[in-house]
Amino acid sequence: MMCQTRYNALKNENEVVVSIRNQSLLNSKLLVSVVPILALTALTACGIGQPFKEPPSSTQPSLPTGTIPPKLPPPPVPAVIPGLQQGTDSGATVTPVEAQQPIRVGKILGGVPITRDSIRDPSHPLAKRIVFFGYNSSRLTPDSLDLVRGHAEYLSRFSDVRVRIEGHTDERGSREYNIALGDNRARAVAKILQLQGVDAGQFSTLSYGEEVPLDEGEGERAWRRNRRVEVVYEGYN
Amino acid sequence: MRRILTSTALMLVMLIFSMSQASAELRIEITESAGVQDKIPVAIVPFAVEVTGLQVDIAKIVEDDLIRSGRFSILPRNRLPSNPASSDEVTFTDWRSTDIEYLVVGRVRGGANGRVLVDIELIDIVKQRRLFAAPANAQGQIEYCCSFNVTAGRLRRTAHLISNLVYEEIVGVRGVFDTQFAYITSVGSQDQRRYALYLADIDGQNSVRVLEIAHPILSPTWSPDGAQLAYVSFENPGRTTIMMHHLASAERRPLISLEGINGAPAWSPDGRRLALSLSHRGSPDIYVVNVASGQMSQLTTAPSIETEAAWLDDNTIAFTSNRSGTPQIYRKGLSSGSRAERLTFEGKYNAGASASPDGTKIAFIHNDAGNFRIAVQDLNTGVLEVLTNGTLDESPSFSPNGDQILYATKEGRRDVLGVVSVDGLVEQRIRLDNENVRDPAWGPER
Repeated sequence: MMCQTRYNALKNENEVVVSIRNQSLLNSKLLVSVVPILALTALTACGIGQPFKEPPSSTQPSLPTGTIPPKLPPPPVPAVIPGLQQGTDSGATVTPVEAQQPIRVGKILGGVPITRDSIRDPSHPLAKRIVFFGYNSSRLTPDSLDLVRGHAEYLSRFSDVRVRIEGHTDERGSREYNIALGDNRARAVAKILQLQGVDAGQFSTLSYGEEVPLDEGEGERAWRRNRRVEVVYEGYN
Repeated sequence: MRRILTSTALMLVMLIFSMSQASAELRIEITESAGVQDKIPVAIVPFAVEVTGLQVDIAKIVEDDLIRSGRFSILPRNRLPSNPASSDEVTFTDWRSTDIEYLVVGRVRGGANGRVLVDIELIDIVKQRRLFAAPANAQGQIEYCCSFNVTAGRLRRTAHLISNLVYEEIVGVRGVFDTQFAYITSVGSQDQRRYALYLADIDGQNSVRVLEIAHPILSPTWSPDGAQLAYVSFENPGRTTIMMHHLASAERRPLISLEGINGAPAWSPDGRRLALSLSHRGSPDIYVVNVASGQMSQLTTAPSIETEAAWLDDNTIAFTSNRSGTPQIYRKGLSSGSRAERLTFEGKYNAGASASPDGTKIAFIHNDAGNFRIAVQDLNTGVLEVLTNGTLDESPSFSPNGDQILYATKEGRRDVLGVVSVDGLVEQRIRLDNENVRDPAWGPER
C-alpha cells in the first residue's frame, strides 16, 4: 500500500520532470541533475530490484529510535576505490603504485610528499581539512588558500577520490541567510579546486548554515570556530 | 550502483512519517503586558454544565485565551457575584461593583447521538444589552449568536472559536485563538541529535509530531489552506531537499533537490506557487516554482546572495540580498523587467523577512548594536521599530490577523519561542522541557 503511494509520488515527480523539460529557460545541465535525483528518490523508496520492506513495526506509531545513522551516511561512492581496500586489518598491506611516485607541491605541504594514503595519515599536512572565515565573509585567507591547493593537488593526483565541500556559519542571524552564506563559502573553496584543475565530478558542495556547529559554545571564540568549510573525503571518514 | 540503491532505500524505509502525541508539553507564559494601558475588564462565568463526564472547562480556555492576548483583565472566579448561565439570569446591579465591562455566559447541554450543544452569550454590562446580535429580520425578531453543536472531541476547539467571537466583537479584530503553529525541535548530544517537526495549537496544547529524522529540518512554511507544509530537509545524503508534506495523509514528496542550496521555501498567497532559493548556477538566487506543474522561473540573477523570499502579494516578493555588501531587504515584482527596490537602510544586517498577511509590513532580523532582534517595518512609512530585546532572535512569522509575531529566541543556551504584539506591548514565551524549540511558523486561519 505504501508502495502504491510511492508509485504515485513517482508519477508526480515525473510530471515535474516533464514540465521542467518543457521549460526553455532551463538548460540541459539542470535537467540532467533533476531527473536522476527525483527518479532515484522515488524508485528506491519502492525498492527496485528487491522486496519492499515494511517499516519496522512498533507499539507506538512513532519513529524507531536509533535506526537512522546519527551522522549523514556516506554519499554514493564508486563500488571500489583503489587503495581503499588495503586496510590495516588485512595483514599484508599492498602499497599502491601511485604511492611509489611521490610528488612535492605547495607551501602547506612543505615538501612533504603526497601518496594515496596521505589522507589517512593524521600527521600529514592534508589531515587539516578545515578552513575558517571572517564574519559574514567567504574570502579565503592565504593560509586557507594554500591548504585548499594542497587538497587540490591530492585530488588531481587521485582522480577516483571524491570530496564534499561542506560550508558552515556561526549561529548569529537568519538560518536561511546562513545557509546561503555557507554555500558561498563552500563554492569559494570549490572554485579553487576547479581552478587547480580538479575534475568537476570529484567534488560537490553542501551548506549546513548554522545547523551543525563545530563548537557548541557561545561567544566570539565559538563563532570563529564555526565559520568554516570542511573538506570531507567521501568514504574515508 | 546496486549498493547505492539498497542503502538509499533502507534509509528511506527507516524514515517513518507518523503523527504521534508529543511527550513533552509546551509551556506558555505572558512575560510582559504592562505596557497595555487600558485592559478591558471582562468576567467569564463557568458554563452551566447539564451533561455528565465533560472533561473540558470551556470558560477556563476562553479565559486563558483572552489573558494571553494581553488586552483583557479577567475577574477571578472567586470574585464573581453570581453564576448566570444566560442573559435572562443576569442581574445588572450585581455586577456594578466589579467594574467589568463585558460578561461571557454559557451553557453546555447533551444533544442527539452523543453530541454536545454549547450556547454562549456576550453581555455589555455598561450598556446593559446582549451582544452578538444579528440585524432584525422582516418580523422584527433579533437572532443572537451563538450555538455550537459539536462532538465532545471538538470542545477545546469550540472554546477557541468562542474566544475568537468575543475578541472580534470587543476589540474589532479577528481572533487567532483557533490557529496552529509548526516548529522544529532538536534533542540529544551533537553526535546523536534528532530533529522533529511538530504542530501545536497556538495555546501550546495538542502538540503532534509530524516527522522525526536524524538530520536537520528547517524553514517550515504553510500552504495558505493549511493542508501542507513545505520545508528543507537534510535527510538525503549530500544534498538538501525541499519537501512537500501533506499533513492529513502524511504523504511527502520531494519538490526539488539540486546541487547547491535548496532553501527558503515560501508559499504564494494564492497557494499555487512556491518561491525558493537555489544555487546550482552559482550564487544563491530566487526562483518561483508552480507547485502543480513544476514549471520554474528565475526571479533574481545578481552575483550576490539572494534568498529568503516572502510574498507581499501574489505578484510581489520581499527578499534578502547582500548586493550592497551587507544583507538588506529588497522588494521586487514578479513581472519581467521589474527592478529590485531596497527597503531597509538602518544598520548593517536586516534579513529573514516575513510579510504581514495584508502585505503592508515586514518583520525581520535586525542587528541592533550587536544584538540580533526582531524588527517590524511599515512599508508605507518606512519606519523601522525594534520589537524584541534578545541577543539571537530570528524566524519571525505573523499571526493571520497581523497583530502578533511568533519568533525564535534564546534563554541561556536554550532555544525557546516568543510571541510579541506588533505594537510591542504584549510578550509571551513558549518553552519545551528538555528540548530546543526553534524555527516556528504561524499557520493560517482554519
